[in-house]
Amino acid sequence: MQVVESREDLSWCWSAYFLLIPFGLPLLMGLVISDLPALCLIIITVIGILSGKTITFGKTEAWFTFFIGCSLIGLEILQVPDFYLRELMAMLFLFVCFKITSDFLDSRERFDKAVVLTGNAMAALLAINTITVFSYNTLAQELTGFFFTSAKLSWPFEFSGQLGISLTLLFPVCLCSRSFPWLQRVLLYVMLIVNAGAIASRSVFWLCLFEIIYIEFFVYAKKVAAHNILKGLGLFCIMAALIVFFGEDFNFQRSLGQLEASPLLFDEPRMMTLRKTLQTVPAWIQGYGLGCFKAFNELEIHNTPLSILVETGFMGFISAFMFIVTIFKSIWWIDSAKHQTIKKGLIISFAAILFNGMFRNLLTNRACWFILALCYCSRHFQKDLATDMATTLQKTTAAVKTFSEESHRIP
Amino acid sequence: MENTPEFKLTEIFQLARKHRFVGLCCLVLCLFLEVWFYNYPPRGVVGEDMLIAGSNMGNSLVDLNSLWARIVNDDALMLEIIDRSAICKHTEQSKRLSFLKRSIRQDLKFQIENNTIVKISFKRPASNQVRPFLNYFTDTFVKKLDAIGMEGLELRRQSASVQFANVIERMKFVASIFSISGIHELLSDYSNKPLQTDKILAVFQTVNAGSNIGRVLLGELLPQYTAAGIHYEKYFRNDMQFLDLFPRSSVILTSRNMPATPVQPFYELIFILCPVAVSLMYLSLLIVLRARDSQDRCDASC
Repeated sequence: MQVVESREDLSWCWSAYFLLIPFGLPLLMGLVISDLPALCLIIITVIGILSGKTITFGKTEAWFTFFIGCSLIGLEILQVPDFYLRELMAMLFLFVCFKITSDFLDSRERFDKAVVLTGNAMAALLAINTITVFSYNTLAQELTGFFFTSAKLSWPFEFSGQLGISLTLLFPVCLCSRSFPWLQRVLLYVMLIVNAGAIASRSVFWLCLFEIIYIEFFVYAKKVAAHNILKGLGLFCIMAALIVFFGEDFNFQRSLGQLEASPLLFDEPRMMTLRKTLQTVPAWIQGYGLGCFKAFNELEIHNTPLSILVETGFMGFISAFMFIVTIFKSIWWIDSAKHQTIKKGLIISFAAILFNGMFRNLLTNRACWFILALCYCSRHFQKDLATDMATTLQKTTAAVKTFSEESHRIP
Repeated sequence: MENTPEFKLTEIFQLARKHRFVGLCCLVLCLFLEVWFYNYPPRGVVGEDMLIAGSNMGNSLVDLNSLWARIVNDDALMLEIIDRSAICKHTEQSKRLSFLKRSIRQDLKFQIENNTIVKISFKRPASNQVRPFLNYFTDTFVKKLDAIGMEGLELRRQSASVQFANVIERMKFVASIFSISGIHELLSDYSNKPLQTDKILAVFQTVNAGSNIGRVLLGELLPQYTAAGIHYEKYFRNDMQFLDLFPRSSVILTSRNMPATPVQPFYELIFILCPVAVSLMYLSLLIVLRARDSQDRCDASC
């Protein structure tokens, strides 16, 4: 395996890694297909470290370390160590992937290539799934059954929710990495809406709509009113056409908000789960231990902040919050002049993580960690404040000097 | 150049020397956690008492579920046990009752195995609070169990005794009417003798043919005599090996000094996990402080 030396090139291993990010085909022992190149990259990195390459640590890594420290003193770790170890290993693996990805993407060229590869893979995935959905609703229902879990579109993931998260997180950053012509954008939007509708998740569907509208009106914005009105009408027509086409489909109806018999909000199973979780307040000081809550309560908390709070306690929650804040700061300080579009894309993806986190547990979600890595690598594209300051200082000193010289010359 | 200050792991020793106070705080925290978990293991400690409830050949003399409910829900009795074991420092009645409800009743459990073996378990945060209460509680439980059990046993004994005496009197009556000799001696003082079925049968072999009706009638009574005799012996004989397994009065099997054990199986691991956790926190704090220092330096130089 060859380690990449050039800052512009990607080795086959990195290319495979970025290409397989949207694909979560399950393999053995909880691993998915995209983990294979990741494992190769980890081995390469370890060899690099052993042969003298240094790695650096910042606040983000520090807060993650603190988080792991907090998780180690969980209440129930000793009772169900297998649950804890599984979750911990998954998180450590994803964090290592996060770290090596964010360190590797230290130039805009690499970043763009990586995002293009992932974007192309995602577009291919959208295309395959769109064809499947159309086939499922028309002709070859039996042939396409493989793509669905419980009548919901899930391929290439085990569950439809994972596909939804992957699409909503990767879509904005891929669409904002380069400029797409309008026809390609429309095609991508249609495919995304069809996929989101077939996933049968309300949060995913409405988030996709929000992303499309935001990208169209803020990223690809033009300051011509007629153009914007036409754009809005076009989007509306696409939506109307899709609703007419898929109106009868239950998944699509559910994505729009339709529920069968249960009342809308407070008696939903997830709300009941949240209520049950809130009843375990006394355990929050210490936390149950990562992944240990479900071992005792036989339910999964579909809310990432609450899950962190319950499983790692208040200290763990604060460290996780600081971890996210440091990553957000690295996006916030991106040099807007040079990287305006990608900054917007990263912010939308980041917002999508926060939104999805309200409805699902994202602690071990690969797409989520990948987006966090992309956000964190943007620390390489920040304004060089120190250089700017020094230049400004030099200029000011020179100006003051000149002024004082001039003033001395004046009789 | 990036604005986020980063550092190499090799700098860690320099940083540790620089931020000694943080290291000291982490050391204190680590020691505190070790001592805390030594005294208060996660999820507490549990003490167990195993006892065999008094029974008649495995048939429990008392409804154990009802007795448990009666004792555990008796506030006065439970408060008395709490006072004797001195595990509640509150003196106000309302606080003591609250302690009873929240801390004692929730953590006191019992389980019945094979009708007669009772396992009483009591969970507390610290091990020194378990035994005093559990010993007093088990004693009280056994006292009540034996008192009620003996009452029941006495009634059953009377019933068995009357049944056996009835059969014996009928046999004596038949033997005297038909002048079957030898029976009276065998059936006299029945309470101190084992069953005489074999000897009675032997008497039947020896009597003359003139008392055939008497032999038939005695033969009819013999199964009743044997059944009633066996039933009687169950309650009165004290030399049976069976009594080791099913004693008539309750026996506490667990030693009174048996220490409470942590609820969690790999409890000792916490003494390794705590230092590891604090070390990770220390490392992360050093990195954060290093980042802050370099930020300050940058601000100062600018």
